[in-house]
Amino acid sequence: MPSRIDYYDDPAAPAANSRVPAVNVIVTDNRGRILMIRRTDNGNWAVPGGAIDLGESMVQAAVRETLEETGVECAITGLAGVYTDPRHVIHYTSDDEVRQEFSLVLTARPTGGAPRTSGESSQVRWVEPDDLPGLTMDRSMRLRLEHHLRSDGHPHLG
Amino acid sequence: MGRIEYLNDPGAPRANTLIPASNLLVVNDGGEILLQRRRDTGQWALPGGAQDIGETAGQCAVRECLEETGVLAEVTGFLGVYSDPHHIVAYTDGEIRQQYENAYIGRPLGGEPTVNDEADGVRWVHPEHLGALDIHPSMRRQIGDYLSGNYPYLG
Repeated sequence: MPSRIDYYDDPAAPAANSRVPAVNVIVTDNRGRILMIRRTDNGNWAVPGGAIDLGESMVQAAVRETLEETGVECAITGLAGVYTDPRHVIHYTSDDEVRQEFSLVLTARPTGGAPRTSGESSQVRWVEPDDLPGLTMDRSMRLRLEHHLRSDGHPHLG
Repeated sequence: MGRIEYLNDPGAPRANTLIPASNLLVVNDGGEILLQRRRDTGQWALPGGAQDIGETAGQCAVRECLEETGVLAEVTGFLGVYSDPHHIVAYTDGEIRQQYENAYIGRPLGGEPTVNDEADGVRWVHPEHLGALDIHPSMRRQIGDYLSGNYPYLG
């Protein structure tokens, strides 16, 4: 069983028992490619991210998680969207935490480092936007990337 | 329940929780901003509070606004993320919360400013009168970001 299971609008989903502010970071290089990881907890492709730790700000969490999961240093450039849909819950099977989605999706540009894997990422790659449809990913992650690629310049508020 | 607020205070206790909250900055047609005076601190503030399970962050902002001001509003934009880890609130039940706020911009749809259990004053305030009010620096910053037009703030 994967250690992380995403549910969306699913009557069989367990009831949420927590909400934790988290970030996702869409890092785009100067050729328009997006930095993607393959998650070790469920095998899906995703942009890097994670929960904000006590003692750090949202932006600090975004930069730290990106570096930890990809080896790439980045600078935050903007806000792509706010994703807090209570129909999306995430079950962490190790401790039975059931977290209601709460993610800020930020945009960023790389400032240093180079892609490398980690305990949380079995693959790390720069991906052309045209190649995203071929990658397996959770519905919520695909939605966030689609919103970003079609953005009118205003953050998505959901 | 009592609360003590710390901002950039080396003497602040160490946080043990981080819970998302939402604020709503409601602006009327006259350019006035909806503020409430908190009964627990006596300071003027934007309406807002912790997000409940089962609602979006935007729905939280609208609900808290209605509860704390009597004004029904809708979200029209996003003011910023305020997550300074040096902004800490200690509650008398032992919770020490690192502040995390999504601040939204909104416009009024109905209702009248009304005092309630949480607020002993609710008012539309013209920006030029903000200086005379007792407002916590963290809240004054959010209002200032709106007035400057330089948002969303990401911190």
